[in-house]
Amino acid sequence: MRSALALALFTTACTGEIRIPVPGAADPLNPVDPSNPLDPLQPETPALPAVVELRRLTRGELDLTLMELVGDTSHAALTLLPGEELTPFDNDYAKQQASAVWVEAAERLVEQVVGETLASPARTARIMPCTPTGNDDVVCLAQFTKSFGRRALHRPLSDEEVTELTSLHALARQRGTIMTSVSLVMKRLLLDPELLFRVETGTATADGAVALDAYALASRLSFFVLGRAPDTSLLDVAAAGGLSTPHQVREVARGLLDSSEGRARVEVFHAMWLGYLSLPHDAMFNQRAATETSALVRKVVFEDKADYRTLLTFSKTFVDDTMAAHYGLTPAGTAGPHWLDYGATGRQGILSHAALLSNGTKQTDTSPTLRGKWIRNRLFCQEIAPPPPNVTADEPPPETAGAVCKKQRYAAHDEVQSCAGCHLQMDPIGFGLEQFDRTGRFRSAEAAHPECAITGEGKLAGIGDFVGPKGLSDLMVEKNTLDQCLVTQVFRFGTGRREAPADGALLRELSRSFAAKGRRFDELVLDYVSHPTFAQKKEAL
Amino acid sequence: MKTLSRRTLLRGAGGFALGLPLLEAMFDNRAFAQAAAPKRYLLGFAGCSLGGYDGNIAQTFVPTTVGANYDLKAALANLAPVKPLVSVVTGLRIPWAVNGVVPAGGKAVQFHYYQVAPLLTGMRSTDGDFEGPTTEHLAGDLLGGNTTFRTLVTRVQVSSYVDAAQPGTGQSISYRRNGTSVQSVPPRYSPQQLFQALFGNFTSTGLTPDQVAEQAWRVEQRKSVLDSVGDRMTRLKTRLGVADQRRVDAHLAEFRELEQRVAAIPPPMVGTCLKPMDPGADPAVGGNQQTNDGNITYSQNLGYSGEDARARVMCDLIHMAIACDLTRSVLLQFTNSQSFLNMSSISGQRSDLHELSHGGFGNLNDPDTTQALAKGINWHMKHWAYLLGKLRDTPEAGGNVLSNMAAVFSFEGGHGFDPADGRMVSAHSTENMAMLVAGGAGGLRGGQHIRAVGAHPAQVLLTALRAVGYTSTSLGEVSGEIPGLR
Repeated sequence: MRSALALALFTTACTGEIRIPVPGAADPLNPVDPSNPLDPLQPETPALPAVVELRRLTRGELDLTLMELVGDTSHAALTLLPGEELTPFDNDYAKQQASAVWVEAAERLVEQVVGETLASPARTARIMPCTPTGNDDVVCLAQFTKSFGRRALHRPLSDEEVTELTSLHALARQRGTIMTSVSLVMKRLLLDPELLFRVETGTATADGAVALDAYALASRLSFFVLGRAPDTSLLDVAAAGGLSTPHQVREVARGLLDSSEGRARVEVFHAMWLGYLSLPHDAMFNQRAATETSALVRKVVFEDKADYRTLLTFSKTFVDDTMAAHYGLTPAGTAGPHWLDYGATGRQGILSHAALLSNGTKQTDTSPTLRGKWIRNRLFCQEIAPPPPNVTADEPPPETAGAVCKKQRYAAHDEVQSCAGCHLQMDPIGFGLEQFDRTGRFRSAEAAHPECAITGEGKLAGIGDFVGPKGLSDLMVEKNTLDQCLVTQVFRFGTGRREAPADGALLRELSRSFAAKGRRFDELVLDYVSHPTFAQKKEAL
Repeated sequence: MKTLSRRTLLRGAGGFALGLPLLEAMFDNRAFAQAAAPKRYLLGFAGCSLGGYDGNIAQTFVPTTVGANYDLKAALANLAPVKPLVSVVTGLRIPWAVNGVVPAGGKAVQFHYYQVAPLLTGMRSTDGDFEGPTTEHLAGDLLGGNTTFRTLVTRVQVSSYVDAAQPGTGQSISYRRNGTSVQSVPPRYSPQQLFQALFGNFTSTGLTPDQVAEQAWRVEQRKSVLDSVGDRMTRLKTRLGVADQRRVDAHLAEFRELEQRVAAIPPPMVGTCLKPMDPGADPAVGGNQQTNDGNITYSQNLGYSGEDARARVMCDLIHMAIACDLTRSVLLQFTNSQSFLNMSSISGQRSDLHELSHGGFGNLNDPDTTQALAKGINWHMKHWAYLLGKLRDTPEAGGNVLSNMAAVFSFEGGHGFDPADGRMVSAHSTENMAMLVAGGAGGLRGGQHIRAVGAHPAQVLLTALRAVGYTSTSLGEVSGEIPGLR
């Protein structure tokens, strides 16, 4: 099913200069694009509740939910369920498709997890509120149904629902014990659409939105901040009216975000967004690279609660001696990773990290085109139209007699006017990072052609020239280009979809408050979840 | 109190109830099927071309002899035990865009991703998207009758193994009609899940009556839970907006179909239909491809999840699914299009299947690059020949199961001109494509090499479809059978 929202996605056609969302005076040559929700020159309107469609839990969400719910630490969900296509996040609901393979896997998962849970006396004890006195202790069965049902569906069950669920007892008793009844109720609840899907209920408001009820809000908050269904303590807070005001939501979210699960979630967000969830090098190198980038994210977001732009400007990086040598830094000479100063290496911040520089490669070398596209896509939230069907993008531009060096080879992109429109938006960015190979190692000439010097001179069309990751970072900080895209990526992660024009006012409002409050990532998350629209939704048509 | 289990009732995907008489009718159909065997359709797929940059498919793939008693080159060597049953059709071609215009049944200039849709549907595609249904669904709709699996879509390769690929993802090559458009059908890729789906409700032979009752009891419980879940989804729908209802409906239909499959009475295990051995846990899923200093690392557990063992199990399961008449139309995709399957455990080549077709890049211990891809293709042939042999060795009315089938094997690409970069000899080509056809349905003739120069590969699929009773004279935008194939 293709979402109408996905079709409304802002895609630049590369016919002219891409507007970089930098606030400033109106430019008569570059008028406001009403279809671009990020355009800062859009007229201000009140933020609207976001359209949210029914979403299936991702493998990761189901895994964490089952761990919390029944103590499943086998990661059965990750083993049995088909994976997601990362776009770059795993929760893009436009990609979620009903299929026999998914439904069968879900049933197998539930059969397996319930079997394992009830085979363990300790795990069984944690989910049973009572000890059955006999095989027909339907009172205890009803108590279990009520308590487990509340945790599974993250809302209290009605008496009718409890009665219906416990009616499975009649079947169970044909051949089984009271624990057979328990297992049937568990399986039925773990396959309940309110567990497998994010069903957000509420009451219609006067202006055509839906105000989420307290449990639905607890659920939305938990999935966003922790990546799983809410646990009993959060449901209790919701039940006691503890999520009734934006301020309350903000304070509850602050605690969740600062927990180990909340911190892990922030890392997952960054790993998906910045493309280092699964790196393409050898396992040891991947580990070092991910450790390095995670450390800076953790430091900026949680330890220092620093201006988020510190990710782009930090002068040190967290590497062990092997990685230090790889980067050309002076190793500390002791075991394990340390914060080492970049010194005069031309490196600065996260754009110098191997984890990020691993993105945008063609075969076994960097592709200036793909790196530029990646930067546009991930850090500027701009889509570049795919190449037309009459050209091939399979191979990098070939070497010819007149074009030996990479820069000359890629110049072919700019010689044809229909190619240049898009490639001038991408290739010059990539060339600005060319002094760093796909593992983040410095180079000043092409390996195959030592006569081809690599200068690292780059250009962000419409913004300015730069040299190397430091230059690009400084330019992004100077022009404040990151704010709106970061907010947009957080929004995409939260809603499981791309932004639509109707989301623009909220995105711009969040961007402004992000900038006004010292650009702290944690405050952005808290601003988002405590925004009045977070407690509401619009139904998709 | 509401009764959740309905032992005598099946519920259709549309929510209508079917009483016992129809169940009995299904039984009768099956009994009838034993007398006059049904036609079946089987499509295999390899995600590679026929030869590499410096290859010569006249030496590695294409038989020298045209007609009967053709010779097997290295890429098809493993077909030897079934060669009299298999016809090789060569010289096929998918046209490509000229001046930006994609012709009927054609593809864009680019290769990977762009040619699989016209190959398998006969419909042109400007962007690689599928614009028509694929043949296994056309055959399933035609032949499925009351079988449990109208069309069975399977894939051996677990993941595409590049970038951040996850299991089960990758370009879909199976599309069924959905209203006025088409919708992809994700493959079953876990042998254990396939076994459970096909045979989970079969009674094993040699059980005590108590064990039989216990097995039936487990099926009863699964049915009741699924029935109850379906009811819940039906009621939940009424509280949702229209877009959400569509999502629930799509999943509800899959849950109802699963319930029907669980509830379906297994065919009597008489004659050739037997419950296969439980294949046990799937081989471990390998990691994605990695590179070290610019060289792709081909360690045993990267880009490989035991596909050789998985392929064998899947062939066994598919054979028995057909023999037990659980399905009459099957897609068996061995490898993803542009397959990055690590071949080191399969053929001893330190490379992946895709790189084998590019002059043996990364092919560290195989100096004979002209033969490199042939070894990769021949691995597919080992399993294909095994499956065809099992189908041939399964007797039924009219001869054997294979004699009532059309079984086609298709390759992602051919060998020749690449309009994208102008190379005259390239793996990125839809010139000189080939297909293998086996089975005796509708007068199909095996054991021949047919040169069908310039014919569209979809014409081979159309010939096979018509052999099992498809009446249309075209597939997508392509029409006409391959002369001499039946």
